Amino acid sequence: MSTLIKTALVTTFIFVTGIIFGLWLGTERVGELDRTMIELEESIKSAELQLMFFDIMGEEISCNYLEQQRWEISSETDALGREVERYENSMKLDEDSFFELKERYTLSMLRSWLNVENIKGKCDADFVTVLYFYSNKYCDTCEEQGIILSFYKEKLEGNLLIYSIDSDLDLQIVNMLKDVYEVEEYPVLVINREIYTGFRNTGEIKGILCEENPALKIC
Amino acid sequence: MNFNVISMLGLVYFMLFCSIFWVLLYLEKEKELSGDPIPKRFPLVSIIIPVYRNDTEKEIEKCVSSALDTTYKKKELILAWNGPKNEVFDFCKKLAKKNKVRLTETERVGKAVGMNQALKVAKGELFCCLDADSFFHRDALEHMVGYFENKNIGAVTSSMKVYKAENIWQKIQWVEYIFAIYLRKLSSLIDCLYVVPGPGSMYKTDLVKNLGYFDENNLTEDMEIAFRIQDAGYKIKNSLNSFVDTVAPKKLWVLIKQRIRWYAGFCDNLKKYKHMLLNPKTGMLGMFMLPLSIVWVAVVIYSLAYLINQLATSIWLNLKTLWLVGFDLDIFISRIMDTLRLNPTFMIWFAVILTGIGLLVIYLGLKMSREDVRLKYKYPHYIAYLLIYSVLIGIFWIFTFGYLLTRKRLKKEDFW
Repeated sequence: MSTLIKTALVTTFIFVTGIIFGLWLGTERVGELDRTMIELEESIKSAELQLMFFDIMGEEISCNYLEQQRWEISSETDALGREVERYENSMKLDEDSFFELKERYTLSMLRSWLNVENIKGKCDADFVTVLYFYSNKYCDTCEEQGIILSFYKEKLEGNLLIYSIDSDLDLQIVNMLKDVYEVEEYPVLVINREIYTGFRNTGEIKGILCEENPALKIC
Repeated sequence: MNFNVISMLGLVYFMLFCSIFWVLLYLEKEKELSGDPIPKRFPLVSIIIPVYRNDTEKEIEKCVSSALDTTYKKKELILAWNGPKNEVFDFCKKLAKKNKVRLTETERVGKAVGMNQALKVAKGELFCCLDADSFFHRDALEHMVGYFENKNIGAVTSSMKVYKAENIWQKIQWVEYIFAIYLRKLSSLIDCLYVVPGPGSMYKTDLVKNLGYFDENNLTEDMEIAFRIQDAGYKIKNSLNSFVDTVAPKKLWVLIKQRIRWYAGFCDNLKKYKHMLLNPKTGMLGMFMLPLSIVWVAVVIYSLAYLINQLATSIWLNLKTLWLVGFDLDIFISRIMDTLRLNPTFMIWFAVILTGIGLLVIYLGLKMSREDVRLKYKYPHYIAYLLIYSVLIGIFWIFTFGYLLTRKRLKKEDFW
């Protein structure tokens, strides 16, 4: 019997160290993603300042400069998005800190989207932006829709910018966007401000993208 | 935390508990491990070798000579034929005549049937069963005899090793048997053995006769007799120094069939002796080992189901991706590469600890089996074991459940 008690003690000790390790690992990963997010926010702030500068000072806008900023911000947002998704799909002990992180990420992403839309309007740029509303709880086709969008994103690189919004998040801005774009079922795509409700297959997405910008290399 | 994480943590705790228990028990009982009681008396031992039509002549001959060559002097040898006769029977007849050993015969099929017939004519105070595909080391018997001077001992098991592990399945079994030597000895120290394996176990003859001989309708008569002996209040011990080599199945299907028999036999006997489960009178066997074994089965099945589900989901998602992207391989490969990147979770910690304990147990098993403890020696065995064995166990259980559900429709003779 004493061996059983000793075993229970040793097992519990190793088990608890594993849990502590898991929590530490979670904090580290969230911390690293947080640091990347701060860098992204800095870039967005810098881009916003530049736009303000052109607005307030009435100088002629340097679109080449802004376009380069836009490119950098988009790739930083995408890279961070991939890391957040990877962490979302892994086994973790602390779900709460992940949801906080995801909310912060969504806010940064939307800020990045508004910035890009602003640049697009001012410079008359021809890249296509997509707001993609999905739900992990109430959508059967969102996985497929996500795969198709990622496929075109990789094909078109910086000429197609996708902003995926987890509609299950209870964020004021997300709720507002859902109201504005009349999101009631999923998936919903807002491509260059045009609303498309329901699943769109590979061919349909290609058709819409080419209608928006016939110069894209897939058209 | 979601259900997946909670169930995984439960699984990890159980696996850690089991592996740590056997390591701590080893450390506690290290001094008691290798010594066998020195016999004061040397009673006659009947060595019974059950033979039937599928045994090979080469193996039977080697088995008989290993039994005759044992250094224990007071012994008699009985070849116990069971089932319809063929040329192997003629060979056994010649072999028996040549070596002046007895041969009993019955047309009825079953190892237990043959054993019982031989037992009726056996003169030994003790008897030893030696499957025809197994071979005694020369001093095997001496180490077991001394245990029977304690009146409470009903049977003694030997330490089995795989004879000439040639292909991957035999190599995996080679490590499994080393692991079993370790577990069997430690289990015997806390009176938890529930199998008296066919190759080289020794019994008290009168006890087995009084208990009604071997059960002829049981899939695993060696497990049934172990339950019956302990149910009658006797104990089973293991002699670490008594080595027996046995030929392990070479083909996967033969191995699967062997395990279906073992595992289905375990289920049958558990049902037959359910009164021993959680019964304080049965000591650690009923209170610890049997419940632990039942939970193990559940853990193995759950883990396999989890693995299959993960694998199937991943294959399905990849196929779907490939179809959705119009079979664009560049995009597909980049997605695959992305999923292969290390995604560290808390499970890494437990995987490292459990692998470490696994290696330690193999090391201790090698030490106890007097094998070379350097892992570089026979490393393909260990790699095959660590990678494949857990999956294999799950597969064995799936087949076993399939068998248990359909066995009424299977013809016993044809299946085995």
